[in-house]
Amino acid sequence: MQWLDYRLRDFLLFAPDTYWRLFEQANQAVWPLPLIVPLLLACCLAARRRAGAVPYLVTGLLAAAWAWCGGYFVGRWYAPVNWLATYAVPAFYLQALLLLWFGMFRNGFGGQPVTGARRVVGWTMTAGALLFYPLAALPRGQGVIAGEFAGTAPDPTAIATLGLCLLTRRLTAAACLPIPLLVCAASFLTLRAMESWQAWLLLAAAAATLGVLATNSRVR
Amino acid sequence: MDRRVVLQGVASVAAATMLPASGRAAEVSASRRWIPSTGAEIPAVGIGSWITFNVGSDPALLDRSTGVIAAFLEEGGGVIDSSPMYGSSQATIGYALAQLDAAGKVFSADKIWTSAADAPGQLTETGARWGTSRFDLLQVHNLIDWQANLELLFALKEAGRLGHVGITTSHGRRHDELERIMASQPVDFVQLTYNLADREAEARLLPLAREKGIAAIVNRPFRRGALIRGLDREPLPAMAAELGAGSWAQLLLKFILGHPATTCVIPATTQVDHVRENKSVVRGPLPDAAMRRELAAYFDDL
Repeated sequence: MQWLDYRLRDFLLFAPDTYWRLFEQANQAVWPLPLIVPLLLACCLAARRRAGAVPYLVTGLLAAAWAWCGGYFVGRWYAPVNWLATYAVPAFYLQALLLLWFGMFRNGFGGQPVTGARRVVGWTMTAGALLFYPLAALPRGQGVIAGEFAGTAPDPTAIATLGLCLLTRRLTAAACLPIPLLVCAASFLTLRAMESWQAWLLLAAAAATLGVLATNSRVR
Repeated sequence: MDRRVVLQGVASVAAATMLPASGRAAEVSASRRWIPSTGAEIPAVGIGSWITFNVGSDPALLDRSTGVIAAFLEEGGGVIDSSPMYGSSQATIGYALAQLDAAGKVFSADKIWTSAADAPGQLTETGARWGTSRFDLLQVHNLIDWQANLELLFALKEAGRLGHVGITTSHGRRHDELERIMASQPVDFVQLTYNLADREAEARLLPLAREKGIAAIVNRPFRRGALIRGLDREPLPAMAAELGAGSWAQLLLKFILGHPATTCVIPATTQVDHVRENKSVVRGPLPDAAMRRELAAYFDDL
């Protein structure tokens, strides 16, 4: 089994600086569009108790975010330096369809609020992905414009989706979990190969989601 | 100068005495070497493109890559090696060569990395990315569908649309199968991994390349930089000064180029000063067999 001889780094097709600059290039080309999804989602979540349509809006925005992220960032920017990403694009579209289905036929991210650890973990992941994830560009010496914004970059989009799934009691939200978890796994491996500390954010998000769901039997 | 040191230019004499009667010298000097099957001459230090030139459409990184290739040309040029597997590397090379108006000034080497059925289409795409319709060397990447793909490449060479035919492996894998191909197929080039840490090729493949008159391109000379990073804190052996090697990178390259079967080594880099450093190793002496054994033993003891 010669495949077992390969190291994780052997599968990395690009240099870390090339990868990080992709976000800068992608954001600059459509600036300030990358700010819109996180801000709209944050506003919707802040107003969630005042308007009944918010759960549908959140689900619709998230569906649009996955479609844009897959078509724009993964297909347009990432695939040229990582041909494997070409095969991931349909998964992003599928996730968008799943979210639309969840929003239209299962009332989206609404219902009774969750409590306890699940609530804390869900909000931490959602708020972290929407508001703080782009700041990870700063320690790399890049500006915020090189940040990974939910709705454009896969990782915060996946983490925000997992967080929102934790914040709903609806059992059908589980259908929206596999693809974000796969994105977390793929990004964890990529970032580990690049020796980036951000890999652990992906692992923590996936582990927290699975841990909370495994220990919380009140998924309704 | 120590008598064991193989001086530039003298290497050819020593090497020629070890060749089969029908063969041409595997090298004419430390800096330029013969391709045994055609007698063409290429610089001993080429450049690879795995990872380093896979920069997408980023203008700053495209310009950086152009600077690297410009320095490579200033230092004598030679083999630029790529593959469809290397993301946007082919397009980056094509961009740089167009910017430098240097399309015909390098030894263009690329690969087929698909099934034989898809190979013609892939070759057309590869040529478009490089901006050329004729390659100096096309190789079957990692032995993929090698029988049918070699047939295609031999036909292209026969038709005058290709300079040389080769086959590649890396990471020291599938050496047994590669050996059978080298023994049975009239390939001009073999590309394999050989460095201070990966010396399996010394046992059979490199001697077979000499015996069969197959030019050998050596990839992964630094194990993608890991060897240099690992050795960075270790002292250079005394022979480094004797060889004029000021760094582990230079010593690693000299070890490879000192092997009489090595035609060309293709380190990849994103930095102009590294290109110049790599190219400079052939201006000084190279280690002979005894020094290479001593260096391998020193490395093994670290």
